[in-house]
Amino acid sequence: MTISLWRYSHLLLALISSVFIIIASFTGAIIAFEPISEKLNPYKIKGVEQVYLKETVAALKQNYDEVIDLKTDYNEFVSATVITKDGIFLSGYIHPLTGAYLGPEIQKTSLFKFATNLHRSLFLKKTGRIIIGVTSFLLLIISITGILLIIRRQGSFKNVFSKIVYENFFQYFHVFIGRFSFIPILIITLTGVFLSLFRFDLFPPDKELVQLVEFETSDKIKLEEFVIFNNTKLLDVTSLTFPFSESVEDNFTLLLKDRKLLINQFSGEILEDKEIALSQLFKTLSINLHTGKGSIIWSLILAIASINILFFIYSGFSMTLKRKANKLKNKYKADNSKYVILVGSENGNTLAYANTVYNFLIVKGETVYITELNNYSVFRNCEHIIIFTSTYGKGEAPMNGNNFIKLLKSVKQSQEINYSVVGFGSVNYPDFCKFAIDITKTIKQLNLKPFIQPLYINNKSNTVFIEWCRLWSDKARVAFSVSEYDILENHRNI
Amino acid sequence: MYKKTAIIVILLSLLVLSSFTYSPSYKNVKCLIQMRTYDGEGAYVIVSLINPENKYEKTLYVNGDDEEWYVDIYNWWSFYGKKRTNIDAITGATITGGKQSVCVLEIDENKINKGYKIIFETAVEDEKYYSKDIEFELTSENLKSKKVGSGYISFIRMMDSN
Repeated sequence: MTISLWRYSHLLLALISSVFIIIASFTGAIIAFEPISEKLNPYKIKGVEQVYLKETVAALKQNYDEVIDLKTDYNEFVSATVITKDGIFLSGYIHPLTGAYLGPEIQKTSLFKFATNLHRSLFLKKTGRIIIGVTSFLLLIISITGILLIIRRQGSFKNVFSKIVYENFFQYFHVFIGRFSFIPILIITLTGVFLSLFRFDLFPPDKELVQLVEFETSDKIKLEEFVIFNNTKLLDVTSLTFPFSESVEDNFTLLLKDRKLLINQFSGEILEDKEIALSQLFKTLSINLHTGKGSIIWSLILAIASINILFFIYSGFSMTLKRKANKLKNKYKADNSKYVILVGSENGNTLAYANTVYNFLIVKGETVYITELNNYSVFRNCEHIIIFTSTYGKGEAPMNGNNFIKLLKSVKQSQEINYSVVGFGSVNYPDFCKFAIDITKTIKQLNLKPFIQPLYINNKSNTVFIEWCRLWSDKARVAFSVSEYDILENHRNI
Repeated sequence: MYKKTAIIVILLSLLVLSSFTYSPSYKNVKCLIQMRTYDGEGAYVIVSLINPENKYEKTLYVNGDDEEWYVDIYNWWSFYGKKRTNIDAITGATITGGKQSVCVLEIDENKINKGYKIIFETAVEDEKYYSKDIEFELTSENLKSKKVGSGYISFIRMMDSN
């Protein structure tokens, strides 16, 4: 029951949000390359880690007529807004030691601009931002239900990274990639949700520093002698805003990674020192993690994770469609059939084998009824029951067979019926064919007659299955011979 | 020979004429914008030069770089939206409530004291738009003064820088 609940919520959420997830991950994969392209610019100066704020302030003051502000960014590029000695207003990257102008600030290219807007708000402004925030939350839930399904499938938490049984391409890689991209996707979606919450002011805002009015004129000392400028490394500075005028009420505003200071422009005295609110630091962290700013490796991981999400949607839906297509088609009614085939299949593989037998019996002109294990009931004219079943997770029943053992015990058949059991599984799992074995154990105690030895097939061995068909059909006197090709055909039809 | 002389004469006369044509000389005016304390998103603050006919003449500064919202600054958009001149060099970030920001306005000296005006339009995403948060005559006196805002701006202070 729990498996199907998780699977349904995993699927239902994916269905609802798929369009938005596709848009967000597609654009996400594009904009993940923006921080990479930014970082490749030559504005990072060797040795910038060793530079003190004092040196850059002095260089700027010396080279320019006016300095308005000074900033460092996550790429460790240093930029400033200045007015040159020729009276030209400039804003761009500078050399932290010489003050030389290196180039204008990087402008977003139109592709990145477009992709970012689509990614953030679908061009729907606030509505779009809400949709994207909710989508991010849904994707978070989807990835959590997804990892729960993987744990379930692999048997236990510590087996998550052990070998996955290959059923088909989509199933295998959905699980395989799912294990690796779970953490990145968790981070992307969580930070995405946080950023939406910040956007809608659901976290307390940062209180502003009150600009103090200091009336007494303090002693003037040179900027180079300011203690704070001498003690602060340039890269610890987020920004330094220069005093607007020489009026004593105008100060330096120094923004460090975790503090904000007001500094008297004449004495270098710290007028106010305030810690930056935790929520603000958290926001910066969320932005950096969500966008990959400043790190080429993390940006690449984000890009790969985005592409993975697209693959999950594609493979997930194709697995679902396959499951949906597994609806069993019958020519005869249950009560009119001599043969009843019962199938317990999670992904449709076992069903392909069951269908192979069903089709041969139909060709032979026999009356056959094929149904899921959970539909077991009284079959009035039945002489043979054939059970084909796989095992799910830690020796449990597949979804369409989780009720079978109980039914088997409670349903009383009026006539004598032969039974045959074929289990499908893999010795790679600790509980090889456990469910089929459980069925055999239970069925023995009932008034059903064993027809041939139960068979447990490892890793979908066609040879073993063909051999079983030969044995069974000989004994049942309907002689048919199955080939690899027939099995393949039935797999393809699922 | 005549041809050459003719060309030289024409070129010389063009040179002389061109010195009489209008040549702007710009001055930089530093402008500090202090926002009122309000909750919510940063405000778009757009500074424009208005000519004596009350028409937009030039965009001087744009605080806010998300073009998606430019449409909401109705009056300015009706001017800027048509031509979409490159404003990258005079674009900064939006200014949040309570914060200060300094920008530099490049003012054509020939237009000072000639009946031109400067207006500050402000808007916050999905909130109110002020078409004239601040408006004043472009006079040399005003360019050194402090003006009080009527919308998101608390006040601005201006200073000639050269």
